[in-house]
Amino acid sequence: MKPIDARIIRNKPIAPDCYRMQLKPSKPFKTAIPGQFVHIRLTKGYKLLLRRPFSIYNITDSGNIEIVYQVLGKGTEFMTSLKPGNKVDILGPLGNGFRINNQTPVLVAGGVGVAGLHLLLKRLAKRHKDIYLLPGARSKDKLYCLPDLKKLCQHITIATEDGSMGSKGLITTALSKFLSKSEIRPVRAKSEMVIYACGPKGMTEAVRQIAITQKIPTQLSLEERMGCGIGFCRACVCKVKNYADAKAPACANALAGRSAGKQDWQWATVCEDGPVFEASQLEPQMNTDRHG
Amino acid sequence: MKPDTKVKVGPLTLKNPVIVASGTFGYGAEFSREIFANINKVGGFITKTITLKPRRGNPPPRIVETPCGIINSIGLENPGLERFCADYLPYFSRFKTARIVSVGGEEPGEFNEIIKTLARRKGIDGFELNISCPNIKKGGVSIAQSPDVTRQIVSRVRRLTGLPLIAKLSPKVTDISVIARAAIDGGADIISLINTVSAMAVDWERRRPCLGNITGGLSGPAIKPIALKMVRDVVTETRAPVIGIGGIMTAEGASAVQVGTFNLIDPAGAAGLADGLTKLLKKRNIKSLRDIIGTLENPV
Repeated sequence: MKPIDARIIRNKPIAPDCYRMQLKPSKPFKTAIPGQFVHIRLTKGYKLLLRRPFSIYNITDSGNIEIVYQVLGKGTEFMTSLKPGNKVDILGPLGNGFRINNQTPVLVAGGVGVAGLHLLLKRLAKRHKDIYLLPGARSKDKLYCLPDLKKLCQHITIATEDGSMGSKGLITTALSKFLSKSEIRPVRAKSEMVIYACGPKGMTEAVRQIAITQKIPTQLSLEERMGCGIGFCRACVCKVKNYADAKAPACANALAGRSAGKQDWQWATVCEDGPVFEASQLEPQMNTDRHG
Repeated sequence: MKPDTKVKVGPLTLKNPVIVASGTFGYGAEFSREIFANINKVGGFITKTITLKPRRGNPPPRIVETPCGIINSIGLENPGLERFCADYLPYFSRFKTARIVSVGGEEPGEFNEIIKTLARRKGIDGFELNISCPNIKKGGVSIAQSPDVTRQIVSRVRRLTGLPLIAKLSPKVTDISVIARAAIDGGADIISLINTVSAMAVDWERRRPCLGNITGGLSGPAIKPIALKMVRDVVTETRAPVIGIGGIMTAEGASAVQVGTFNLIDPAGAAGLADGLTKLLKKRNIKSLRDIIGTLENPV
């Protein structure tokens, strides 16, 4: 895996604290799977030392990459200063993405987590008539990319924590309510649907619990503080069931041979084994989010 | 003419002085062809530390960026000796560079057990004794803080193998040359230094430490001046062969070094340094790297 140069084509705010950036890699991206990410080295200097991982929001016809980032820390703050023509260095596409099947898709996004679901939505729209999307955020101004999403999906249920748009409360509460209704048309049994979720740790953990309780096949894209991005440093770990117990086929290959004997659980890397995991593979995740 | 980058460090001969540090490239299994080729370009490859029994390591977050550095607290997560031999060593032994296994433990007996087993296996060119990990509760850095325990562990291991033995030291001591002397007295061939510097970072808004383990080890350019001073201390006091570690990100100034943090930023970085070194020597018209090692002079 060799880093390649990428030139900034566009970098514009789409909300008060959120930007959309288009990058032209020196080799065009052709093959990214939804849910995969790019790992960006912002400067060659020593100030922002580590790479920053971003979900691939979109791939243009010419093979450019688009990402959507929320300004949360020093790295993303620096990114807002990048101008068209500036160069960064990227590794990617990395990680195991979402697996698309024929089940009726229900997508759940928390905040900037929509950035991790847009490419999936785009691919799903090619084979599914009915796709259900539940985006949630703290407030209306943090519901990013809605115009893009509306183009690809007719069934959208919104929740905001302050009630400024959609129902008031958490998106996971809205998901429970949504699942209790039987109006999801082509679905007769819960096993006929699949939930895809991306968002902060507290949210993906709540979705995991719903998935397990209601026995709904679910794929979760997890977040963790990352080092190398390719599985070597073992910094970005999450708790998974022991490989021998994990029946889900999801990252079976990734985890094969890494089982630590007879332990009841083991660590998997978010960067290489994930970032997408089957809910049934995961142990309860600790909420260590920096931003709550 | 291509400059000669070959170096001799104690009994180890390296094709160039760039060694990938422990914990930054795993054990060499499951490498892509590209990374395999890159590792073969560097002078040496040190595995992630192996302990006798598997270790799960510390809870996340395990990494945080700080000014010009990173703090990590992986906690020696590793599959243990048995699985290392079965699943990883066959891959590791295929590398065409100096193949060094990093060995850790909570007590002296653990080091013995591991070296006893590995000394019988083919495909290993040396051992690095990790007696300085800041991220485990027992053993770890406490060993390299005591000259007596350091000497004891090295001397017991020395009897078990004729392969080059490197003792990796911690900066968390009053006088590192005393520990280096103890390691050499115990039979170490080479001293590598420094391991990461004990450190922590806090998220004041959440009133929480940034790392799951609260504290960790600082690495990267931030610690290079500290490492350089300690390398000088050890070299002037003991004349022992030394491998420098800490914040190496460019080819300039390298003699025999380990590269750690930079591998996390750029998996092709260390191989690039090895190439860069050749170019640098050519530019400065230096025929052999060995000509300039140990030539640092005192200010007039």
